[in-house]
Parts: sequence; structure tokens; C-alpha cells
Amino acid sequence: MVSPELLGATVINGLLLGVLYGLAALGLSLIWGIMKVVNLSHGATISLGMFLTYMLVVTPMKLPLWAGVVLATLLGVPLGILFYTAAVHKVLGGPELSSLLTTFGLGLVVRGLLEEKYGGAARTIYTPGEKTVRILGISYSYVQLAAVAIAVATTLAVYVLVYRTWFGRAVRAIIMDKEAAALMGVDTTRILALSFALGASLAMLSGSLISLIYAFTPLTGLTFELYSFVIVVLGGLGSPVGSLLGGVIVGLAEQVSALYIPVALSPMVAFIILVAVLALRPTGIFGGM
Amino acid sequence: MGRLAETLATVKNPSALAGLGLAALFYLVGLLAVRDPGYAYYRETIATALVLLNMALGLNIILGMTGYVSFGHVVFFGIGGYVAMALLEYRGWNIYVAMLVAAAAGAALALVLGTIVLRLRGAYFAIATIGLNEAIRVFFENYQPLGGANGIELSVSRVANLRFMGYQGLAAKLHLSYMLLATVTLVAMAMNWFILKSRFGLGLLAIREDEDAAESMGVDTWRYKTLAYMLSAIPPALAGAVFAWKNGSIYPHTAFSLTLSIEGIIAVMLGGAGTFLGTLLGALTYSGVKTYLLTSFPHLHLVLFGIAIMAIVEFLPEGVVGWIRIRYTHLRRILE
Amino acid sequence: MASTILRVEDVVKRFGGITALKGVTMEVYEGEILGLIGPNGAGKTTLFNVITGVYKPDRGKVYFKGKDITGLPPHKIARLGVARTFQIVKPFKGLTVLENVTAAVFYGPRGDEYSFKAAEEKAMEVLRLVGLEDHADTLATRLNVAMKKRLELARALAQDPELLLLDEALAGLNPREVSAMLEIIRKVREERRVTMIMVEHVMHAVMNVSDRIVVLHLGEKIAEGSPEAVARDPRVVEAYLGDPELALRFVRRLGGGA
Repeated sequence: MVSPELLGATVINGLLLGVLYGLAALGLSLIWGIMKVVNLSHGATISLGMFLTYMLVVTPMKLPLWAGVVLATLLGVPLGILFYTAAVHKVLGGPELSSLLTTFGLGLVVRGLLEEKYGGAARTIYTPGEKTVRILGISYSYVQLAAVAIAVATTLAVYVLVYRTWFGRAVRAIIMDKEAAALMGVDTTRILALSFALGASLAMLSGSLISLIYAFTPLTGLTFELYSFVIVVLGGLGSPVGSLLGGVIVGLAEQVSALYIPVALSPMVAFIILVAVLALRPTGIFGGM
Repeated sequence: MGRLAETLATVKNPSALAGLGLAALFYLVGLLAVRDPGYAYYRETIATALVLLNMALGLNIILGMTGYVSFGHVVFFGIGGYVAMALLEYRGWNIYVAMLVAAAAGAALALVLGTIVLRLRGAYFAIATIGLNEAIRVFFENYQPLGGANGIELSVSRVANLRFMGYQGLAAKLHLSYMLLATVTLVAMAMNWFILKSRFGLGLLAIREDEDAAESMGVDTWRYKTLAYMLSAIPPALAGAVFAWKNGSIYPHTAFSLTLSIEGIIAVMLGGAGTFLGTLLGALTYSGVKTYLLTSFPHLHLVLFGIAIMAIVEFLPEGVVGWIRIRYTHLRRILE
Repeated sequence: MASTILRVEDVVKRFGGITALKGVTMEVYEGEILGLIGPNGAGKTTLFNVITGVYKPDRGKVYFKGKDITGLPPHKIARLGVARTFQIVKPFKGLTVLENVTAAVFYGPRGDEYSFKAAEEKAMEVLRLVGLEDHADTLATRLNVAMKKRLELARALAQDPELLLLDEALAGLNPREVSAMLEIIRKVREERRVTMIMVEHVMHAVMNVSDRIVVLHLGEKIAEGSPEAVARDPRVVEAYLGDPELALRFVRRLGGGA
């Protein structure tokens, strides 16, 4: 029998983890929702965010953590535009298979470069003298809590961006009717490239934050990518809040199920959720954007 | 002349003959390697290509002809391998029976999975197949009766008594597994060809082009795509069985590696989705280039592979044979 | 009067809160061309989708040749001898014109019986009927709109239907193409005795070619009868007044005499 304290701690753990899952899925969700591209380079981009942060705050550079996170996120913008140009622009509007493959190819390039430079061994970003806080008997570091806070704030900021700004209006016009948006004077190529850059930048941010808490390899991002599918399908395409809620559901499902089944089986829970939701309600539980 | 007789008579088509010629070549290399060990290198290179070719020929049925992007198709390769290895190692069955059961298991799994995911279209189907493959991989990683993450390794005693064409034990296994792989490939080629040349195949092409129009034209789309999915599971399941037996081991992370699915998809696209000759050429070319990249650029092969995928899809989306068939429609009856 | 080939009985179809068909009853007689008209949102295409099994009605029945076909899947209804074309054409783009039509031959009511050779011969025959025989080896995606509409018709005819549902077969065609298409439709009726239901917005055309007209408005049948009678029916004119352009055409039609 699971004690109430353990269950409580597990729920909190699941919530904190889930928020990070949600942030990791956010970029995938936006790109999928806006340009109907399932970005299979998403995981590699998350890994890139992890290793860029490593380069910025551990070696060769030794910047403060916050600077590492900010720089990695900002670098996501030019990289995203580069990725869009290389892998997405030409296949936009074509068969879905094309963009699945080109973005997968792009992911391989990024992953190949990371593996070439760093190999497969796990790395961590050690933060000395960390302060911690205890909740229901489990310690959480300030860095971890800050990461979660940033994830929530970012999700809300993206929500505002999508629903309250000219950029968001242009994006939504493109979602509804690309040709009509172009006729109304929206520079669709620029908006789409920027959207992809936003998605890549969010992937980098999530990778950067995760790298401050957990160990990582060039393949770690891929695990988050797989979870992101589940989350996007749960939360609905292009919905920032849906992403956050989907992330929390997956985080909770994973942590709570681990109380009852072997922890290694918890990814199965996530994938079963994925297939069940797809089969029963392909538009996602929280609907579209 | 009846339709079946007509379909069978199409083996005289140049593309079918090219396929038969290739199959003969595969067998020939196997036989030559028996006499002259110098051919063993070619044999092993071809064996690697044949595994991919079977994946591609399976995918060509569901992806190429029916239009369903089975990204996680490697799940059938993995299941075939696991079923065969479990029967070989824990039940002491022989490889022939184990292969047949593996093929049946692949088709049965496709029936079950298809019931869940074939109602999805486009990217949702692709994502769902990835999810299913991952779920099944995680299951095998944790299912201790089949070795969990350590997989299954074949005891030497299981192959000690093996004799094949003058070889014994492990050497016999290597030769026999190659000949079996060539046979499995021939079966997969025949499946592809005769489906393509049948009324059933034309129904699948109709589904690929427009599922709603196909249904309202009288095609039982649900039954057709389920059957196509089941048939498409057989070549990778058979190849998975032989490949695992050949290696003498199977591990969850390699048996269910998405990379093989995606290489199969690329092979199909490189040649021309839904064509017979294209799938053959695509898989063999891809495999050749990959072998070259791996040996010449062992560190950067992933990067080059990624660039190659992007280039193929962006600049030759119909594939080589597909491109010719679109531009020169009168060649469609020769280049199938 | 000829016997009834299709009977639609009190069909209701709802989508969420909207009722697209509110108890439509109508009959189609063997050998006739029935024009199905009505302003946008009248429920014409929904009715087609109910007849062909794409939608299952919430209430009511559909009988084809006396057999209850309500709720059968589309392919089963197709194989009983009901073919349709789509408002937005759905050619099998990656296949040639001949391959498109041959596939249709194979999946008609007696499609099983055809050999490849016989199926292709029959497909060529249909292509000659619609005037696409010179494009047999062209990829469907390469055809222009008018040709795609003909291919759509050819594919439906190749199924050997007894009842053919044409969903705006004339939409998007220029006047010359419209008359060519009407010529084909007349020929189809003469040579093949196929019963047809035409959903159409090109008013003069449907009035000219139809034996009878059924008018739908907001999911209800508001008029039925000969083109002349329907064109004079005040309820019909009123229904179309919500749609100025169509109302104008109606008025012109009336002014010109029936």
C-alpha cells in the first residue's frame, strides 16, 4: 500500500517534471500546429540546447548559469532559421512524409555532430554549493525550482505571443488560409521561418534547463521528443496551455505509475496514452488552437 | 484469359525479369562463397543489403502502394526476430519452423495494431506507429522471461549439429542463413510484384491516391489496408528471424531501432514509392552508399546520411524510377 | 410511370447542433434525370453523402431498388450499383487516366469478373464516351479542370452504375465546356439508360437537362416537379432570394419563358 506522504511527494515530483516535459513539447506543438510539420529534429535540437549550455557554462566557457540559458535560447533563433531553410521550406505543403524525412535527416546531422564531438558518455552540469528546499521529505534544488518557474512563465509568454500580438495574428491567419494571408500582405515565408525559429529556440531553452538538472547524452533529447508526441497529441496542436497540461499529465502518469509498476516500464504508459488518445480522439483532449 | 493467369503471366515483364535476375545473383554469390571463401566478403555485404531490402519491400506495400507512412515498421522486424529466437533457444525448434511462426506473428501483430492505428491518417498514423514501436521495445527491455535488456543469445549447442553444403556448426549457420535470406527476399519480391499486378494492388493504389474516392468507388478500404498492413509485416518479420539467427543474438534496442524503418522508407523513396524496380534499386543503392560512408567516414556517417536524406527528399521526391515513370508515361509498362 | 429505383424516406441528419436534413423524403424513377437544387447550405451534398453511405442518417431510411441500404458502408453501396462524382474532383492523381478508369471497372458491381484485358478495353470504351481516349496514358494530375471533371464522370460510369449521383459536374467549367459536358450526360442517358441525380448550381443547365427537379432549402424539400413548375413555384423563388445572384438567374429564366 502506498502511503499518503509518498503519494503526495510523487505527485509533486510528477508536477515539476511534467512542467519541463510540457516546455520540451511546446516547440514541437507550435511548429506542428502552425505549419503542419512534425519536426523530427526536435529531439536533436533539445540535445543541442543541452550541449550548448555545457559549452557555455562548463567548458570551454565558464559563464554564469543564467547567461548560459539565455544565450542558448537566443542562439536557437538563427539556428532555427537555418534549419527552416535547409529542411522545411522546400517541402512545405507537400506530402507529410517529406517533412517527416527532411527533419529527421536534419536531426541526424545535429546528432551526428554532437556524437562526433562528445561521444556517447553522459555529462552533467555541476552546480556547486546548491541550496535546496524540502517538500514532503524530498529535496529540490533552487535551480530545479527556477527551471520549473521559467518553464511556466515561458509557456504563458508564448500564449500571449500567439493570442495577443501581430505575430500571433499573422500566424493564425496562415493557419487558416495561407494564400489568403499572403494576399492580405502577410509575409508568409518570414512568419513561417520565425515560427520555426521560435520552436527551435523553445527546444533549446528546454534542453538548456534540463541540462542543469539531469545528466544528458546526444540521445537524451530524443526521449523528450518521443514524450513530446504524447504531450502534443494530448494537448492539441499549437496550444501552449495544452502543452503544459499535457506535460503535467504525462509527468504525473509516469511518476505515479512508477509506484505500482517497475519504473523502467513507465515510458510504456506514456506511449499507451499516446496511441489510446490518437485512436479515440485524434484532435487532442484540449482541442486545437 | 482469367485475371489470375494474366497476373502470373506478367513475370515476363522486364522489371520482373530484372528482379529474378537479381535473386539469381544473390543465390550465385552464396554458392560461390561455398567454393571460394574469397566471396565471403561479398556475401556478407549482400546479406546486410538484403535485410534492408526486405524492410523496404514490406514498406513498399503499406507505404509505397497504400500510402500509409509506417514509421515504426521495424516493430515487425523486431517481433519476427524475438519470436524466432525464443522458439530456437527456449523450445529448441528448427529455424524453418521458427521463421514460419515469426512471419505469422508479424502478420498477427499487424492485424492487432492495424485495428488501432489504421483509422488514423497522415502524420498521426506515422506518430502512432512510432509510439507503438517504442511501447513494444520498452516491453521487451523489461520482460525478463525473454532476457529483458540483455536480449536472447543463442547457445552454441543449438547450432552445433547443423550441417549445410559441407559446412558444420557456426560456419554452416552463416551459409544457411544467407541462403535463407536470399529465399526470403525472393518471396518478398514475388509478393510485391504480384500484389502490384493484381486487382488488389490497383485497389491499394486507389487508396493511396484518394481513400474517400476509393471507398466510394467500391473498394473495401478498411479490409484492404488491414490486409496490406499484414502482408507488409511479413518480409521484415522473416528477415528479422533470419538476421537474429545469423547473429546468434537479439537485443531490444537494436531489434526495434527506428533507424531501420527510416532507412527502409528512404530506400523506397529513393527508387520510387509503389514501384517494384524502384524499391530494389533504392534499397541496394542505399545499402551500398551506406557501406561506403561507414567505412570511409566512420565518424561523420550520421551527418552525411542526414544530408543525403534531405537532398533526396528535397530534390528527387518521386525517386529515380518514379521520376522516369512520371515524365515518360509510355515507359510505365516496362518500368514497374 | 417507370418504377422507383431510389427511395429516400424521412431522412434526418444532424451535425452537432445543426440539422442539415430535416426529414427529407423523395423518390427517383428508373431512367430519369433528377435535378437536385437549392441555395447553399440546403443539404444537397449531405443528402448525397447519406445516400452513398458516407454519413449514417440519424433517422429515416434509404432504399435502392427496394433494398434497405441505410447505414451500409460506401463501398457496399457502390458495389450495388450506385456511383457518384465529387464536387471537388478526386482523381487518383499519380495514376494515368486509363489506370484511374480501369480501377473503377474492377470495383463495379460485376468488377470481379473482368480480366485485365477486358477491364482495360471497357475503360477505353468509357474514355471514348467522355472524349478522353487520347489522354489514356496521361497522368491524371496533368489534366485541366474540365478534363478532370470528365475523368471523374468516366470513373463513375466505368463502375456500370444503375444510379449515378453527379455533384456539381458542371461547376468551374466555361460555357463551352458546360455544353460539351451536357452533351456527354445526354449521351450517357441515351446509350446506357443510367438514372441520374444532378446537384447543380448552373441553373439553366440543370433546368434543360432534368426531367424533374427537387428543391431543398435549409434541409427540407420545398418543391418537386417539372422544371417549369418548379421555376414558377413562389416558395422556390423566395428560397433563392437569400442568394441574390441565383435569384437573378431565376428571374431571368422566368422572364425568358419556360
